[in-house]
Amino acid sequence: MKSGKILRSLLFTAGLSTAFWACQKDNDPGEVIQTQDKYIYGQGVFIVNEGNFLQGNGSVFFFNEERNTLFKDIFYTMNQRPLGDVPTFMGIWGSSAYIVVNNSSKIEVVNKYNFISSGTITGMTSPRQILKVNDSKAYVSDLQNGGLHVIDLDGLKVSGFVDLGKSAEALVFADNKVFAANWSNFYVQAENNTVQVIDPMTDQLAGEITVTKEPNSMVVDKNGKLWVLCSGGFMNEEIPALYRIDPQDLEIERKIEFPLLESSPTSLKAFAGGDSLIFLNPEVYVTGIEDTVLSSSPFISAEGRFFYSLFTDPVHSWIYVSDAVDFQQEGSVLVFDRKGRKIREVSAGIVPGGFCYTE
Amino acid sequence: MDKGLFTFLALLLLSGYSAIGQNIADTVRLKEISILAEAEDKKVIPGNIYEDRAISGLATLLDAYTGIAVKSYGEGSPSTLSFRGTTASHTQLVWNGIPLNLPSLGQSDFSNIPALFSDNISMLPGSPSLIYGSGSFGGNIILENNASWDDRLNVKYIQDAGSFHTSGGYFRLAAGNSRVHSVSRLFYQQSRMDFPYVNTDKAGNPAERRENADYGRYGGQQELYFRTDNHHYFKGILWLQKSRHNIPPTTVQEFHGNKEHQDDFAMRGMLSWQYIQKGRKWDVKAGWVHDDMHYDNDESNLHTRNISDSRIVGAGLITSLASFAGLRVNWDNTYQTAVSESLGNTKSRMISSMLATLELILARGLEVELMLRGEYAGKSFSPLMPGMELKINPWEKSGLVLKGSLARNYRLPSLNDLYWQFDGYAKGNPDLLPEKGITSDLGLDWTYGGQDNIMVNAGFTGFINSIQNMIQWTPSQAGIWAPENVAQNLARGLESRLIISFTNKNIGAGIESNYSYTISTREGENDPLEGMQLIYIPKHKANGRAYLSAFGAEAGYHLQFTGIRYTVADNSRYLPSYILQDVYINKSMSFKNFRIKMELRVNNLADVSYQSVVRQPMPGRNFYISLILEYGQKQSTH
Repeated sequence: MKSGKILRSLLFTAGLSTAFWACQKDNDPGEVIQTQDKYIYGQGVFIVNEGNFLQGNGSVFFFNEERNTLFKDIFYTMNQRPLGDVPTFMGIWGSSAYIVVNNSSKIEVVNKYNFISSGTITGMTSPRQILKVNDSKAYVSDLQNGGLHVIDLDGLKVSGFVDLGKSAEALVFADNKVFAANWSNFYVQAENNTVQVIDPMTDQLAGEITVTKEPNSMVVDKNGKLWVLCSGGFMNEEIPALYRIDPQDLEIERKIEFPLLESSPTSLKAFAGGDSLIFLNPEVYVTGIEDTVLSSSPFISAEGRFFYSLFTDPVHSWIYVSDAVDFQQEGSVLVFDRKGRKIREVSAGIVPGGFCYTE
Repeated sequence: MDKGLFTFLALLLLSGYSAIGQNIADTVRLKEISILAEAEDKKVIPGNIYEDRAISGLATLLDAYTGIAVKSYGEGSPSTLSFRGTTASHTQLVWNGIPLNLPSLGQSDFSNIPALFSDNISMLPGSPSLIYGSGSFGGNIILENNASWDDRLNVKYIQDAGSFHTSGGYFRLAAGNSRVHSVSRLFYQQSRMDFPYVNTDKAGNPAERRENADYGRYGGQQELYFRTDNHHYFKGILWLQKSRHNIPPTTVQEFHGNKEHQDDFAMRGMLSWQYIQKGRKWDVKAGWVHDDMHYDNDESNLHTRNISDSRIVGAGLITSLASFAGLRVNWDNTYQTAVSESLGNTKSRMISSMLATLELILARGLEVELMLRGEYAGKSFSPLMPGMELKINPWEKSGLVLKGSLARNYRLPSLNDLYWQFDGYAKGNPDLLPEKGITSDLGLDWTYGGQDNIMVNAGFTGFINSIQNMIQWTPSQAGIWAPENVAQNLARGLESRLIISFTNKNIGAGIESNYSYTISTREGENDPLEGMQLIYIPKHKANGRAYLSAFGAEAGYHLQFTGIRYTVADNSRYLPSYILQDVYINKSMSFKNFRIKMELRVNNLADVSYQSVVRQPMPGRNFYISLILEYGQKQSTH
């Protein structure tokens, strides 16, 4: 009698199992993300969220100023796939936006008006930043290769390589030359206290300027001068410094040292008009291009937040500061006016690290 | 024998102490003790699940047949466990009384443990884990080896072969007489693990093959057992193992041909001596655990080496105080070292730990065990760790047992947490406090058996674990990552199980099922993540098994459900739930002392696409065939 019950239980279990099998669909096994159902272009700022290393949860958010609306994870929304692992940089030229996805070794190219992918550039190892140098060519810096990748913007492919013998990070264009900051020697064993100069006509190295260790960011001011911010090395080997360089003769015109060896300034940007500079250390500091001494008090205090990245837009000269919180959760972006008054705070993705403005 | 003493010894053994005494038949009635131990406090993974499979890794078994949450980077790749909503660091792997968690990381990689090197695999959740040491807020996974004195000669060989160029071999030679017994084991496992999958993370959902996921491991274990008529029992085991696993790219990375990989070498040795006399058991043990890990990534020019050693000596005494009371005292001294560039060279610490337990039979069917552990590590004492376990069994014939436990526990920071050398990005924190935990559970267990060839075991347990001063690596304002005692965690949930088996002369059938419901959240008023479920801990996990055997043949079906798992601390992203189904069929034949068995298994029968870790695809439907050859001679009866 009881044996019969057991057998009936087994048959029931087998039947239940068959039902499970029938219901199981071979659907997407990947991460489920909360997204919105649309993306509307307008004047505003793109926020590039790096995400966590190897988690593939990097994203791009867009704050549409005209509509006062935030659009989350717009690449996923419009393309139904994740952007990739550790997007670090975004640049817009014409209608195309180029998103450098560092640990996915690629650049996603999208139409900025609808954010639909128009192609993927591969063939790099650890791309960091992109700079358009003419209508059909761009350079891409790479953390793990000693030089710059040359990108064919028409064919969306790597077409060449500028051998620098050093890894590069920040790229700027000044006086018809490209300046590449040699920030890291972690993967490519070479001195990381230089800014190299590349002739974009010949794709050849055209010069080198020695600065303090770890030049991490560069801008050009209203006078066409190149400013280079150096953190002094991740082990605090040298005193951090801000340099002004004449891009014509590559001479160092000014060197302003930071008061503390332990400082680690980053994210140098120039306000619209190019008469003042702004950077993180780790709070927000502002300095005029004629100043010879750095301000000792912050322009914007962090007040317990983790300021990770900084940006100023070319229209209002507003200041955008990202708060990465603890790097384990979604962050936020604080927006201040030119006088440092807080205008708004918008949500961001995980580790918001880059910005790009569109008009 | 005095009934109180017998009960006391039985309870001590089932509380997690090594059941070595079972081999001295004239001192204690071993068989009963062993059965109690398996059926009650220690939840044992059934031997028939893995004893004839050379390819089974411990992580895969635990994921499939228990409620433990397993985070796996893929078959053959690193896997960690989470017990009852706690983290991987709160699960201790214990091998013949020797803890195996790496002192540098505070964790174990369970994919690298061959299941067949253990005679008995069990898990000890919750407060009773205090008996094996501190810090296991979740629980312990316990591996044990024991002599099979009945065997004069036993030779066994298993050959597995399956999908994705996977194969495994296992050889076991056991020989001895009534005094001396030797067991030698060898194994290998290898696979390309180059399974096809649809990459839904890339444009156009291309069909791809898993790249650079191959692994290989081999090892040997030698066990020697010796006993005398006057109650001495010696045991010595040496386990050597080498392995290599390549590290595949995620679904959002491009593979450049870079053979990123990790090589591991492990040596584990232990010696123990026990002396059992009237109402007392003396125990002395020594162990040495050595792990050497190399990580190589040529493309990134990263090459690191981490060496960990733990040297352990310990002694203990279990003694009867009265017919209703017994005492255990135990002392362990562990010297841990870790050598790596990241630590600046060699870092070490000494941990001395004392345990005392008092077992009381307060009334018929009412038993309590009081525990107290004290620990001295580095230069300071941890606060005392008291605990208690209660068992109420008022109606002996009913098979109904009410059990509960409560303990305070502390977990020491790992050597990496304390001494990671400043590298520009991160540094250790020598001022870290131990994590503090309160563990508790209450459960009801019902066993029915002995009539009509039917056995039923059903039970459910509710648990609450609270952890304070939880260690978390966080960035400072200057961007330097360092561990801090910042987080609080509250884990609570329910576990249930049902086992029904039927056996007759030539047929058998059964079903087994487990379900666990776990809520494990960050706590603290100032914590922005308050109320968020910890990542990679599913709220729901269940598995079930049904089998039918007749005349040496068996067919079985296994189902595993894993609920959604959050992948980000703020719970903004998650991996979807999945159901896996496996089936197997086998046939055994015996000819005098020979046994031959063949088995065919189909894993992931429905070819479900799933991920255990985000962006790491797992294999679809796959097939295995096993051939088992065994020759055995029993000892002649006296």
